Amino acid sequence: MVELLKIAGVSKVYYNEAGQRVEALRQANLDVRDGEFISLVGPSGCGKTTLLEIVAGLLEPTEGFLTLKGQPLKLKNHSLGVVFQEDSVFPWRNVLQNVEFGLEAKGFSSEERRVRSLEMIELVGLRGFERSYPAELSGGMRQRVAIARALALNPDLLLLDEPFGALDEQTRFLLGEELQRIWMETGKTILLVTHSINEAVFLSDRVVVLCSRPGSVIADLSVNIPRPRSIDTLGLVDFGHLTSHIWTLLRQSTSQGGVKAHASI
Amino acid sequence: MRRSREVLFVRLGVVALALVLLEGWTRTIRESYVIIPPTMMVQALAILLTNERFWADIQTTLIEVGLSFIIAATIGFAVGVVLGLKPTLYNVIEPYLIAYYANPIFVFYPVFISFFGLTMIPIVIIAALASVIGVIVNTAIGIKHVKPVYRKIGKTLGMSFIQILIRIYFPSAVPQIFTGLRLGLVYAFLATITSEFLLAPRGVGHFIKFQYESFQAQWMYGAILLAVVVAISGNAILVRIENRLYNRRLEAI
Repeated sequence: MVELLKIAGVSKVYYNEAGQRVEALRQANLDVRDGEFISLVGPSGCGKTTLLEIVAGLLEPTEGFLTLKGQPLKLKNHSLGVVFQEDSVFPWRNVLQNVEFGLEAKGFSSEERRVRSLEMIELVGLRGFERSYPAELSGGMRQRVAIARALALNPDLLLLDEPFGALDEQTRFLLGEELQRIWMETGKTILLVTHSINEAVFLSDRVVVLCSRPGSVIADLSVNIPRPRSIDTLGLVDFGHLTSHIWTLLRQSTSQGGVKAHASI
Repeated sequence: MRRSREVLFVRLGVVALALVLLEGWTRTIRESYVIIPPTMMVQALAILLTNERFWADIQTTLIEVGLSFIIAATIGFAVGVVLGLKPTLYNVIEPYLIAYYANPIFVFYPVFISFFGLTMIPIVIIAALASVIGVIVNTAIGIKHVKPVYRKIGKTLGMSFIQILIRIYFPSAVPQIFTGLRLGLVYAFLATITSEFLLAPRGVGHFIKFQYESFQAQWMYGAILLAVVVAISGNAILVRIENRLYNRRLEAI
């Protein structure tokens, strides 16, 4: 497979309101192949969202560089689709208008916008809701709209920042299955940030584990469970092994992190 | 659907009942210089509307309201957007905004008259001053409270600052911006009529005062009726525009 995204030695340091130096991310390296589904997991404060926001162009790295398709990552040259945990669907636009949003900004004709958006709405299973307003939809449906909006521009990379974090367990699992189907149908490369280890293993080809203070990559694990995965996957021995392995890694890193923090005082 | 029809029925019913009661009451008392029946107000207004000099008063008032509102809306919107985008700046000047709010603007009316004479200019200035603050504050609050995640969406789509402003900030802040504009229009109208009432050679406010001082109750009420109808219509027009831009009923709660 072809390399799509390269994250090389990316660090992020910022100063908080009290003027203290915070090292959010140290020397993160990651290579993402075209069509891969990758998850970033780790405790809060491990810099996984920081890393995603750097890839999304919302933050500048303090050190290191990123390339997409071999070119330095620039929002002007590349198209990215991003879905956030927070409800980001525009309440003043109906479903169709929301999905068309990115296409409008890029100057597509109204005909192209319509055709492409209806296709995306169909893909995320919201057919029949084109004229509905976000206030009439459930939280899960609104995230589907956000996914359709992100996919409408046919982005090189789809970034998902805890997209199902605000949803209930059941909806969360159903949308996870949907996301797998969407990924398999579109062949998109997906980078998912989540704090749910089960979700990460269930969905991904690779799970990248980060530890906190400073945030850095401690493991990069392949998930070799056949697809399509379903509710039965959760009961597989491999699934159990992998999730418990990640749990162990995270526990070790937290205790070590605790020691490190203690030593630095 | 049925529910909204019932609401409408009750709403109109209350007004109709009040009018009938007022009509009955005023028909049975004799002091016709204090209050006159609503039907006579309508009659008086119909007669007034055939009078050229009254039309000149209407024209004066509408020009004053229109000019002051356009000035206040333009300046207020621009200032409000800047303040909304720069919370620090907003915090710095907030005490001045509050002090400005507390001012009885009309105390400056004589100052402007001595500068510009008894023309439309002092009235337009007073009305614009009264109108602008509501537009500034509401626009600033509306822009300031646009969800940061909306801006992030715009940025990740590679949109420029101007595109984000026009396609995300403005539509998102429409309800609050229009609250400011409606308030601005109300204040522009109020300040214009009041200034005319206080001291002016022309205008609907001046006409009402003149008829009042001449004990011409029917003409006074006719003009009052017109002022009320025009003010409510102006507000209703803004509500219509707002509803076109932003469907309030479908806003997430």
